[in-house]
Amino acid sequence: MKKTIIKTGVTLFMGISLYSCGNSFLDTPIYNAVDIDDGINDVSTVEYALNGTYAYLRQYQSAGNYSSLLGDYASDIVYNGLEMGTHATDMYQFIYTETTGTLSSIWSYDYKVIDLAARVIQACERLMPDATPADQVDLSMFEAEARTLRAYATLMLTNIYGHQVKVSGQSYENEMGVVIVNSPVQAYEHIERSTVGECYSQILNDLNTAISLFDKGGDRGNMYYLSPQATYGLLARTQLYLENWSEAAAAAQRAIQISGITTLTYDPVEYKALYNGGKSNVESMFALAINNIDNNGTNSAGQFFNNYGYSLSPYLNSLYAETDCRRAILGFTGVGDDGESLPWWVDKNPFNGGKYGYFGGSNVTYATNYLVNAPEMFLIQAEAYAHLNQLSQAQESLLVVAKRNNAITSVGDLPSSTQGIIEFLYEERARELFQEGFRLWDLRRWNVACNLDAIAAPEIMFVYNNQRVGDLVFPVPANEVNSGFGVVQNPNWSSSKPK
Amino acid sequence: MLIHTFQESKISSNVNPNYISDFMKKLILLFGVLLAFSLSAFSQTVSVNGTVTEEKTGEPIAGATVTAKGTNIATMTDIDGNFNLQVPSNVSKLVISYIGMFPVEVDVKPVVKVEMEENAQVLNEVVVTGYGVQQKAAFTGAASVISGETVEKKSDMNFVKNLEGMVTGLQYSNVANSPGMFGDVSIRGFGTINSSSQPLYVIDGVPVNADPVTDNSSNNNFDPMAAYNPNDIESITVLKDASATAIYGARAANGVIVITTKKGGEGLFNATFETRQGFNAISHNNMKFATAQQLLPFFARGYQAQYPTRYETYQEYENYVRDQMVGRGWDGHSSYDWMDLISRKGYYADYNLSLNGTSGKTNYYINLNYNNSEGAIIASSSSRYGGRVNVDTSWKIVSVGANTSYSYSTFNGFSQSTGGTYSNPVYSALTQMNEFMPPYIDGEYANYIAYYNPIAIWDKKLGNISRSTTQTLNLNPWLKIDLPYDFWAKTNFGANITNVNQYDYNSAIYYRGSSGISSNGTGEVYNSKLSQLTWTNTIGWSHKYSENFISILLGQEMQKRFWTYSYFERTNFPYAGAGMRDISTAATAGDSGAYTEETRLASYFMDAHYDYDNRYYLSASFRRDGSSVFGADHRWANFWSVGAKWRLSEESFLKYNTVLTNADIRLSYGTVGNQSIGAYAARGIFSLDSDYSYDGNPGMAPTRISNRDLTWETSKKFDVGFDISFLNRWHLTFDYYNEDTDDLLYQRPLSYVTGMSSAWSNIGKIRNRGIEIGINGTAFHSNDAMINVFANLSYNQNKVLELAEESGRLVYSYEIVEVGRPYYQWYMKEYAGVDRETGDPLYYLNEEGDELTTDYSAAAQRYMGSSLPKVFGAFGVNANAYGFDLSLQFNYRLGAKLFNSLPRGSGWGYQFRSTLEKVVQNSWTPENPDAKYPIYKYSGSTVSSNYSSRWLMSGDYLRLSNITFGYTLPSSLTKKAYISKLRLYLTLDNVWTWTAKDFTGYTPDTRTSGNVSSQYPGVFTFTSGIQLSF
Repeated sequence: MKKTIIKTGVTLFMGISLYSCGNSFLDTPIYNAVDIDDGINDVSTVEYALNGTYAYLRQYQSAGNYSSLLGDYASDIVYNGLEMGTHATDMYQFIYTETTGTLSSIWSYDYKVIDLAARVIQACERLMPDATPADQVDLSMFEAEARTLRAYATLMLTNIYGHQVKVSGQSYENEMGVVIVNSPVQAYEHIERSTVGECYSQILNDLNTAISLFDKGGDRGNMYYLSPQATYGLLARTQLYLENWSEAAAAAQRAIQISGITTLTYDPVEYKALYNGGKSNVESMFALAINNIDNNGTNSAGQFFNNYGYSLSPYLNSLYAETDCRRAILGFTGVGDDGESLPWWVDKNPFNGGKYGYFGGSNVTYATNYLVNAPEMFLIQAEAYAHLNQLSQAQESLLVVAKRNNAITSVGDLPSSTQGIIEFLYEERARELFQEGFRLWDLRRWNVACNLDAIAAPEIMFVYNNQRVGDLVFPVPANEVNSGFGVVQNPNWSSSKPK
Repeated sequence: MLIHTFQESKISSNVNPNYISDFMKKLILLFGVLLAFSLSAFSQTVSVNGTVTEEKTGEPIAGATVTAKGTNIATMTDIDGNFNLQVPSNVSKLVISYIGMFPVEVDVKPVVKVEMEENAQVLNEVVVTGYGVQQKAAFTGAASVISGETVEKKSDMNFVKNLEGMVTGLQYSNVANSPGMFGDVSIRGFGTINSSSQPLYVIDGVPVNADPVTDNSSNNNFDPMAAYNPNDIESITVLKDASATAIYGARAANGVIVITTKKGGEGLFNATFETRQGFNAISHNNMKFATAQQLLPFFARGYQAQYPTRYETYQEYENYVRDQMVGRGWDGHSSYDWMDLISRKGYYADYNLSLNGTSGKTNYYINLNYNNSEGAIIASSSSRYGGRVNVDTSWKIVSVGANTSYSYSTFNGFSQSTGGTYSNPVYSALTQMNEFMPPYIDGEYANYIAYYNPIAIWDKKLGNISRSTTQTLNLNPWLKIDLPYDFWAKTNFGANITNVNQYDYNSAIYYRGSSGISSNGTGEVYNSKLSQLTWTNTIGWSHKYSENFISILLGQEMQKRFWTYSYFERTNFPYAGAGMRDISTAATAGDSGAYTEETRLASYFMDAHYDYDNRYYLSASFRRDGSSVFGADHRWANFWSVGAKWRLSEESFLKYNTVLTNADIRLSYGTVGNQSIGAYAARGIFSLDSDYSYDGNPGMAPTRISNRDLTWETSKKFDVGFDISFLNRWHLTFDYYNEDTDDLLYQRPLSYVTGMSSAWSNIGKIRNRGIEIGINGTAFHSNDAMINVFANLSYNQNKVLELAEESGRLVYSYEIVEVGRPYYQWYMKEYAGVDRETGDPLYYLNEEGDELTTDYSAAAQRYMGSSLPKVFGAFGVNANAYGFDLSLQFNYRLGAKLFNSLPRGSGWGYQFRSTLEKVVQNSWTPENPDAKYPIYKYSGSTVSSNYSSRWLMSGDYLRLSNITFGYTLPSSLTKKAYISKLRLYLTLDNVWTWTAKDFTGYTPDTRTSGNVSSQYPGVFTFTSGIQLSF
């Protein structure tokens, strides 16, 4: 008995020891990931990685909120009386620093978009030669989308962390831009910021290449994915910033043509219905797939323009005529839905969300961001034609949007001089593009006198008055600079703040 | 009218001073009666004089304990071995005991002579290392042993909290004082940066999970250690140096806490019933809030200071503020203390029924436990139902046994994020509500649509739910065979299984915002299951030959850890108004997700001890660990230690010294590791998580780069210490240690341009160096009374020696990690007081020098101390007389700096938030230019509430942390009722805290980071209990 026990024990002990000493015991399965080195290896995985790129873009740190809306939060057309801690109020009040979370979030997430887009582009180029014809069509489309995604994210980053490329005719192309990512940057690799001009070249190159790839690969016909019209739209936006007026007008025209959106909505009820949610905005060319399942929760743009106190500023409110159909979405919960007597007691009656009102349902969190829209194209054309002195074309383009104010019915109701049209645009772009994140960049490229950090609603008051922000740049996140891989800080970001 | 009704009910729900006073009177009366009764029982006594000597040498033994058998009457021998004891006439025997000697029992006579015989097997303390047990006297390492009784003294369901101050080098950092809440534990400082600094917990030889298994993102975690019943604990051994911990190899760098549970006792059957009940409440603090009447002009001036051009006269500003407050429901005269409104007298109850005994060679211990702890703040509570069965038996050469425990714990809490979360009642009370805002208007909750009203949010029928239930099962069967020639073999299987079901519901009725009212309620279910299986096989040999004693242990161990969780979210609770808050009633599907991971550890180890003549001790241990979490090329590593001890007091020149009764010197050195990183940290991956899907289509994204070389961080630990005893009455322990951790597991920052923010690598070095001193002894003894005192001190110096960054520094908003400085180093703009002319806050302009500025953004960051205490420890006294026992414990902590990163959320006002009275009384105004605080402006965020040393405070404190007062009835009386022991007692925890002058907050004991914003207040606990053994 004793011997049996001893023998059993020793055998068991040795058996287990032998079993466990192998390395195979330590090879644990991984349940939700694949190896990074051969993660993208066929058309399907290219598509998955591309979806991942869109998923990053959808995040609140990127186009889902911060990146695309920063230009409004830090401007004269938005008001926030709540000053709720972390919700971009540092940007609103211009008290941001190199360590402000909003700025490092934007930098890191837009680069996630760029990095993954670059991986997709690289994979498409690698797989293309050996792909079947059918796969080549898909790969062309995927690469086109990836290039547009990369261009879009690079444009946002260049705008935020670099100097405005052109300020009222003057070029700042040689100022520091951001890091260009042609192929994915390896860990520990040394990098450098390119100039603003080089960044814009890269953006134009990506957009133009995308357009030619869409020609080969077609598009999905789904507004949640990038398309030729959206790519032309972004091209028009880029050319506008570069003050390449002819190219801007032409690209906007292509976007309008391909999308077929030649007129807009002028009825208040229909206008409000554009923001019912999902694909309700028939004037849009590209939107993020945000819904009740995939959304940014408490950090969504809808939340910012509701519970976290953001709304239009009393100044912007003063720009809307009573006959303007856009007032239909500017109510505060409980009152002012008819466009009258806005209370700005945002704590008591929060803004209903505006373009993030999700009027088809009740939860503003589910509202999506419409990122490239037809009205912007008409406004780009108006501005470009005005600068090209093609005034009647400018008026016609402007009228398409300006008729949102139902009191304006013909070009006769619009200014007829270049300067008059441009000054009208100063306000019309604010009225039309509110909550689309263009305002600060507009104020910066025009370098017109403006007021910032609205306070004391319903009165029109600002902390910073009569400012010109043509030189405004935001600081690169301290974490990026401190990581020591070559990105340097904007030397004058602090002094470029409003005074 | 309704307000009055509420206020009246509020008084009744608070700690009523009259109630305490009545209660105390009754207790004093009861104790008085018992005292008189017991004194009369002792009135007839016999005086016994005696001498105690060592049998072999005839030398007197000083410090031997002489007890009248069956009573608490005892004394100690003096330096000549003499004693005198008054023994009740009904006692017939004396028991004499002494460390390392066989106890002796003698008849009661007027004069007795006692000879004691040495017994090397009888020890006062043993060190349980998890794989074996060693005599403390022979142990070469640094370890602290705490008895179960000490652990039980305090009334906290989590025994780890009770270790604070009782173990040198162990720092417990409260995340919150809500019952069951997870807290940070560190032993001998922080030797790691990105991996966990939690020690390894081992219960009855089985490593158990100590990390929260709840949804980590919620900052609301049940502590897995709170699932274990403190009453089951026989002893806790805290292993600290390499000699003590190297046998645990890869997991021992942060120290090891070894818990031994109770076993079967003497006698066939013993039953013990114990219950303890009482209440807790917010402990004393300096957070006194201003009243609405004080705040109206204060807010008005603050608004005027912010927007001077808005109105022309002060009165207009006051009218504006008044209108605002009336808009929030103010009646124009009432004032509300919201901390009072959200606090309560939390009920505490603990029940234990233990059965133990020995039948033949079978020992058994069975325990049933119920604990219910309500927090001092609404919506926080925890309860535990637990049971344990420990059984062992032997037959010839085979011994078998099993230790089994199960507990079902329910934890209700809320986020403790330092950034503030509105579902946290403390944060919403201080940031959303203010002194003007009533909790109710017309019998309904007020202000819950526009604000977060914490009382509405946590309405018991319609409010939020944040509940996690944790089932913890430990199953530990073992088999041991004694083999010929002093060999033995043991196999030990341990299963540690933790199942968590967490349910968070944001009220459709009372929780404002998108996740509550606008979604018509949001619910999220989170299910998590963690299984940790450990199989240990050991073989040992111990042999005594002449003066030589040698023991060797060889072992092999394999561990599998499997963790899986899933969650889903739903919104739209149509029946929420009728109180139906279960997720099954929600109509709309939302986000969902799942995760699974697995880690494995394979190990071989060896441990050897040699002892010559109880004078010279040598030990060595070695462990080879293979871990699945590391890079394929570096999964295996070796850890080792050597230790030596010299017991000087056994040398001939000291052996019979009656003053220096014990003296030894210990020395150890070795290496241990830390592997606490993610399961797949070394692998470069494209994550396929549903987070990366888009528009319902699958997606993936690169989330980590590969590092095939990733391996353990290794701590090189050196320890030198000594233990000295005088007169067998005073005992001193001293340790000096130096621990250098190399190859830190470090999330090295990458450029964000790579699409990632960091990558795991082995870079960096950190050092902890310190001193631990412990002293305890008998200060006084007589026939009827004994007073023991203790004190300890831990000093630790933490320093970063090397970082990955070329600059040698990582700068954050108000912290820095920099070579040459502690890991937790404050680095912020230095506040320089108030500009007497303008009232604006002043800051030091440059990194050095005295130049001042009022421009916050221009001021440079400066080094402003560390959140790590320099010195901490405890002291106290335990006394007993005539069956009464009293113990006092004081804890202290010195040298830490604490920071309030969110002053607007803790009484400093701004934007019409709750404001402390001292801020109102002592803020700058033209009439009060010498005020302590700057001018108060409505929106402090642009001016004075920014991060600066204005919000940095001394964390020094001295706390009377426990008073226990008990009385054990004489067994002569209780025996008649077949009761072997009956003890009644009172305990008071966290009685009073003396803080530094500049401290403003609820309690200075806080999380390791030193951040005290949005803090759950400290809690005072009063309980009374009864212990009944048959």
